[in-house]
Amino acid sequence: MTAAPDGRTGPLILGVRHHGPGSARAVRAALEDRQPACVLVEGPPEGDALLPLAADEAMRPPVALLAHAVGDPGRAAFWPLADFSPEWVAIRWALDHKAAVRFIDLPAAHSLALDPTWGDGEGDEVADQGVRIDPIGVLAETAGYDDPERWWEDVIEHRGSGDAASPFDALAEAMGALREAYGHGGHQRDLVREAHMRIQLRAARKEFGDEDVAVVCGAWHVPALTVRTGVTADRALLKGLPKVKAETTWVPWTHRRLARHSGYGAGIDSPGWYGHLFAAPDRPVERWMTKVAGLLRDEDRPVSSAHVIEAVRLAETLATMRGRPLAGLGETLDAVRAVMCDGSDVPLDLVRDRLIIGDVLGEVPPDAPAVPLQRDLTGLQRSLRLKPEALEKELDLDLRKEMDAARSRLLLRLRLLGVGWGEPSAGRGSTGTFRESWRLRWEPELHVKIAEAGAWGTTVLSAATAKAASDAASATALADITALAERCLLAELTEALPVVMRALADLAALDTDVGHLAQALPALARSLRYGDVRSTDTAALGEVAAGLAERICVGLPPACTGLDTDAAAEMRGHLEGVHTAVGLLPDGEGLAVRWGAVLRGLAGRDSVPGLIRGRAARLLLDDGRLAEDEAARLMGLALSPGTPPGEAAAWIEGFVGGASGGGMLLVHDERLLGLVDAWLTGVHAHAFTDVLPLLRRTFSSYEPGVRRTLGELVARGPAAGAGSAPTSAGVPGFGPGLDEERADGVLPVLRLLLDTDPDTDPDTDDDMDLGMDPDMDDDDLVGVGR
Amino acid sequence: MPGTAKTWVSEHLAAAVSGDSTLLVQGTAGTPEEAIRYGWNYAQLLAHGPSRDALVPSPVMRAMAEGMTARVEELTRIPADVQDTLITILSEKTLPIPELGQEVQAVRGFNLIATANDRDRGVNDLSSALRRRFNTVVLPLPATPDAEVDIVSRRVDQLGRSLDLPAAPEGTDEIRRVVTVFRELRDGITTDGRTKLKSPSGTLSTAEAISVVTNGLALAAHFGDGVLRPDDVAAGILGAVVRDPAADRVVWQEYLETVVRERDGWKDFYRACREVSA
Repeated sequence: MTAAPDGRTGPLILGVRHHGPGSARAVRAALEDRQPACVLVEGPPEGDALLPLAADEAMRPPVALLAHAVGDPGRAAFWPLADFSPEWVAIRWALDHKAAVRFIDLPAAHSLALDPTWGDGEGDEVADQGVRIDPIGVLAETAGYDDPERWWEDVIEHRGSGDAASPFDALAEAMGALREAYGHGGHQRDLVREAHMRIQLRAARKEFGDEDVAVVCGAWHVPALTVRTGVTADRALLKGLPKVKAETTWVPWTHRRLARHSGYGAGIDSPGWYGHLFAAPDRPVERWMTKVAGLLRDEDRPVSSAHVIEAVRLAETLATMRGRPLAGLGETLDAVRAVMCDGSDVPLDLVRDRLIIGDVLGEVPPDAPAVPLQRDLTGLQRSLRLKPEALEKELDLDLRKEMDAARSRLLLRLRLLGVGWGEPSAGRGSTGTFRESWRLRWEPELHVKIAEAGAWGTTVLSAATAKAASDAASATALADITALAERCLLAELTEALPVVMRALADLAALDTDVGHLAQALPALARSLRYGDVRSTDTAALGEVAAGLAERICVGLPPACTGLDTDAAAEMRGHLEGVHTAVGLLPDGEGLAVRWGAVLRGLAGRDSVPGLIRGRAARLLLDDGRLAEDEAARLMGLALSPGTPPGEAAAWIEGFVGGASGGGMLLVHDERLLGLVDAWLTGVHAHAFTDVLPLLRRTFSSYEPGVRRTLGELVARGPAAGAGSAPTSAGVPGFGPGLDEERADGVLPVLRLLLDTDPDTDPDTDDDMDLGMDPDMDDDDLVGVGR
Repeated sequence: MPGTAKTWVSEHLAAAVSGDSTLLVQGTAGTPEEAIRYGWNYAQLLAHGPSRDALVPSPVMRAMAEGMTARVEELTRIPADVQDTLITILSEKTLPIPELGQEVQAVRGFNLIATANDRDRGVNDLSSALRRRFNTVVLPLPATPDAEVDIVSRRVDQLGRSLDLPAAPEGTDEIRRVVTVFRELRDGITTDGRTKLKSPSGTLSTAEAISVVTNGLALAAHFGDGVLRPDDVAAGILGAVVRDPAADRVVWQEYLETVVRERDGWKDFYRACREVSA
């Protein structure tokens, strides 16, 4: 070793593991020991200008140095730094001691041009189908550990605070041996990066003197920095690299995004635990257990001091049994599970989530350069000709126009990110799905919101996608997530949609309340329709909706028994919503058959309230799945003398109630009317007052014309009903029977109304009103059309 | 949880640690305090008055005196007031004998292993004071499907021999299916990890899978052609899954309709299940 830190024979080279608290502590000790005038840190040199901000009062790690290509904010890289990152410690030490500090890695201008993949600042620790080696993994395996993390904990992190420099020596030597055996180990870009680091190191040594320079870099690079190579060879390696213009800034980061499972290559499994190890002055296990006990107490679990004592004892016993120098994360977790959580994993997950990963959110001083998200937004505002103005302004969009659709998407995405620039407002005079109205108002604090949203991504699209995915993961109510799905579809966040759909399917599978499912389904069906308008891919959505419908088919029948009047009315609403939605679903044939079976089951089961039974029978009848004889039989059963009058009245309300054409049904089918009539006359006098309000509610919602016709039919009496031809005779002002010739006269108008004539444009809403007589109400249309 | 070999583990642990697994208190609703502390030999007591000779030590007392591992089976079935005698033993490591003015001190090496079910309702739950004095380990269910299939087929084989059932050829596929159904419903997620499911109220332990398969084998041997088929296990699975007729039935139907129906090669099974579920 030419750079033995103690021997003062050259620059102090400190090989570390990114985000290792033991490394961080050792780095601080080594720097205190040597007091160098210049500290060089692995990182993009473009960030040099931002380094003084690290000492700013308002700067709180975890933060990340973000570099992005100018004009292409989507191409960006992050260098996250936490309290316990050795790099951060070195930077803060240098700033506190007025030492020069510089980044020496390959400039982001090159690395961004070389590697367009997003978000991987480190580049070197991403597993690439096993081609690249994991240096710590290899060392751990050599030492007989199966878990690299544990090996690292035992050998580096849990060392006592003895000799500051010795871990660096040993680690550098180990890495040297590895580099000899594996060369660059599949990390080809490292050669270029290391050439740049060597050049920077050389320049610093010239400027400050050999012994006054300290380098903090990944341990893997140490052997490359101590090797002797010629300047010309290094320059040759760097020659002709592609280049883009890059900008850097600080962005706030979170512990959660430091964690490995968030997709960050050099991530660690337990940022919270590492933060604790770094922050705890002494007795880390005791302090940790106290923290855990505090958390569990806040969650109303009874945890006493005796628990803490037992847990610490058990953790230490386990560590001794397993031959580890100190109780590590594994031992403390086992002890917490056995002592404080009664062996259950549920509270343990809480510990894992809140403490081991942790909720820490970093802060960045306000004078840090603007985040790329802001630039992306500015660019979009320019290209979409939407100026941010403080004055409130109305904006009407026609989604069939490309420009307006893009504007709508931008506003929707911003709303997802919590940037409330535009508020949707009720459209003026139009209900077409292709029109949208927005109320725009730009307020100064929206800039702050955008800076906050900068942590989600570098472009509006990517940030909104990440935010939607995160929202989906944390949603707990089905209604929230269907709303989110709808917003994702509208904002065209196609990449977030699979995540949202997955979360939706999971929640739907676990929800035991059929009412929730039934509420969600119509929203999904509506989303499918929106998808059609905006021509987005909705296959996944359709699949989820079909799965939801399937679950409703299974769960609805048991949920319909034992309901009181209010619950039955609510369930009737669900029934109708689901029925409409099932009809809208693609590939609904098999589903429709099963739904039909469910309705049939409901209509025929006595334990189901009359309202729902009647409704189910009616829906079946309207779909042509129930023969009219069958309907009459069901009605006869429901209205037979054995049924309590209230129940029968409810059945009638379900069957013919509401403004859904029930009256016309009675007008046209005299047999049904006869049944109702016969039942009504048979109702006992004292029961009549009970059923009267129900019946009144049923019949009063009919159109006046229908009511009059019904009254006339009833007044005429059942005698005429013997001849089953409807309007046979007796209605004043009408001749007997049908005059076919005159009836044919309405056919052209009917065709105009019902067929899609190529000459008419159904999209423009003005045309919709043409030819529609205002007196011609819905009931008539339904009655004729069926 | 029932059916996860708690007793087996505690027995082997005690034998491995202290070479003796017979210091055992069998917990029942009628377990008296004497079974945990000490009793009296009344003939001795009447003849010679109270003395150590008239004392009948319990397994726990013997374990304390000799520094061994004592075992308590089904701790939660023991009445709460009897459970409480354990509190002093575990925290002070002494067992006072006030009648003699003496006490038994625990010797180094004394340990107590107690087993209990956490899924049983209506039994004497541990007081938090006692619970705190134990380290709790929840025995896991088999981690991988292969391990579970292995356990089930081995036990089914053993049981089948002792019940004199004819040896079943090629039942492995059906056993795998039973284990898959049990695991999926238990874990609340399909094995491919793509669909979440509701879990029924039953425990669906490995032991239950063993009994479903054994039952199916008996049916196949006596009423079928000796080969384990979907029809033989369907009713058994239904009985194991649907414990609560209302809620569990919905869970089971959802599982049938959303998972089983669409799975390749499960047509027969689906049909058989539909038949018994209807």
